[in-house]
Amino acid sequence: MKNRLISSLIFILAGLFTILAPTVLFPVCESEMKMSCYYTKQAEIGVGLLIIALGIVSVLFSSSKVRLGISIAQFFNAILVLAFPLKLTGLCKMSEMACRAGTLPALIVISVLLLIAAGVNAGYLATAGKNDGK
Amino acid sequence: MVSELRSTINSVKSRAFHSSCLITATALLSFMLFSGIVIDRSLNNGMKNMDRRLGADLMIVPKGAKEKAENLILEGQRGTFYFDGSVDDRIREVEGIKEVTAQCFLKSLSADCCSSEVELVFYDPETDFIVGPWIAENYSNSIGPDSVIVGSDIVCENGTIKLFGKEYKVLSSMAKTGTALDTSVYFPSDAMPAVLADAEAKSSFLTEEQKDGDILSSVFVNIEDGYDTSKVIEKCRQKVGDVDVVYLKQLNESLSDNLLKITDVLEFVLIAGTVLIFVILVLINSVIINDRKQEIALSRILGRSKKKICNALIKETGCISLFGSFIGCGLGALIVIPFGRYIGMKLDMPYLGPGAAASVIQLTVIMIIVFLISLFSSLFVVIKTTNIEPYLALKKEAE
Repeated sequence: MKNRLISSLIFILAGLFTILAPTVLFPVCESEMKMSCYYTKQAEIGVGLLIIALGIVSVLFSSSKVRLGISIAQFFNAILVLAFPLKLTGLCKMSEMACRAGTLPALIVISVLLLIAAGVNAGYLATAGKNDGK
Repeated sequence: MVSELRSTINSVKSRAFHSSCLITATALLSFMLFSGIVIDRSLNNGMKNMDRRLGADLMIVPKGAKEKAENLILEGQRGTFYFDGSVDDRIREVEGIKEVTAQCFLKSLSADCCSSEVELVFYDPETDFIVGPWIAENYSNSIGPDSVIVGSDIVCENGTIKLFGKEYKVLSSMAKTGTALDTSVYFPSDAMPAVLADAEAKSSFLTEEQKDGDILSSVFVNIEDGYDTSKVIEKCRQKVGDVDVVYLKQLNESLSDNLLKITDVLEFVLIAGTVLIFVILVLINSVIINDRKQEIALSRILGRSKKKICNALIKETGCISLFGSFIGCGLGALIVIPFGRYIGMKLDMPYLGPGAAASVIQLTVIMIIVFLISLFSSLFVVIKTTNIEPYLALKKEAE
């Protein structure tokens, strides 16, 4: 129960920060023209909502196998958080622009922390499942 | 060796709450030390780099371009501001002028080679005393019209760079500055007409001034010793009309003062924080060892020597400090290194983050420092406890 609550809380917070980073905390460049970072922001809002939804689902299920699956999904979501600014949608090209100086570092921090949390939780659940099987 | 390590880890795990308190404290200490030292060093490196970049007394720019020019010096962020191409020659004629060199910037032009946009700088190799010393670190021969010097962030294949469909030989890559200068390409001024023609042929957007070609963005000036700077500037204004002047030396001095204030505060916070966490570590260790008095006394009765018990406790401290400092430094690196440019921009200071090798060295040094701090924080309590007579310790526990 403790693991379920803690891991779900971490996932929900990570999702929340994924949405807040490009919109409120470190907003992407403001421009009338829709630049690459605008689409990255939209994509991050989507991924953030997905991370929150999976975090909520994780609280509702007590089965460790379901939660293991959710943790693996969150692991790949963490990669997606970083893939949007770095590869898929991109950011503005100049290094001193707001999206590169603020948004990208924030997304790097969120992505790495989510990656570690999801990986550790998946490892823990897999080991616990094995031990229960014995 | 492996079994000893395993028993140490098991011992740390068996006291989960106490161990997590110690790990949190050491992680906080490492995070603070790592982040503080990296920021401090990066600001100092940025300042040193700027010192080397400012090889002139004055920078003369077109009227209204002063702010852009200061941004160029602080962040390397170039703007497109121009005056006519004869300004440097006219300034050279002014009495009291020792050296004059001019540069011209073309902003935000995409290079075929690069994923990011590059900025083109045209400088005069014959009169130059700004870029030259900077380049001379890696390259000492003269630069031709078909060759360029590139900033450190520009990656070139086979020693060439393709700009507007034409390949240029890369003579040298400049040292990292931590600013937009790292994404600049330096051309000799002779190459400007050809580059502009190529850019126009490739349908790149050029302003009317840029199309004209006979333009300069800034003139760097050194004044002869014994001449009054303000009078020389007045004469320059009479010669070339109303221009803005950036006092590079004054700007540098004011930035150095700011840096000193920031680093002073940073160092004070680091020292105060370290002392505070040291006290917290001593308190936690006292509580832990106090709780373990009975266990230590029993170990003594069962024949374990003081030295062995001390060793085991020190190993536990080492294990905890290693884990805590790894987490702290990791978090510090994760936050401070990517946010480097943001920190520099917010402080309005030049900021040059550490390279991979420097980061690893800093991480190792901080882990050693944290280990030593953890060790000292537990040493006194450990020695005191292991010196207590086992009988007395057990008696006190029983009471």
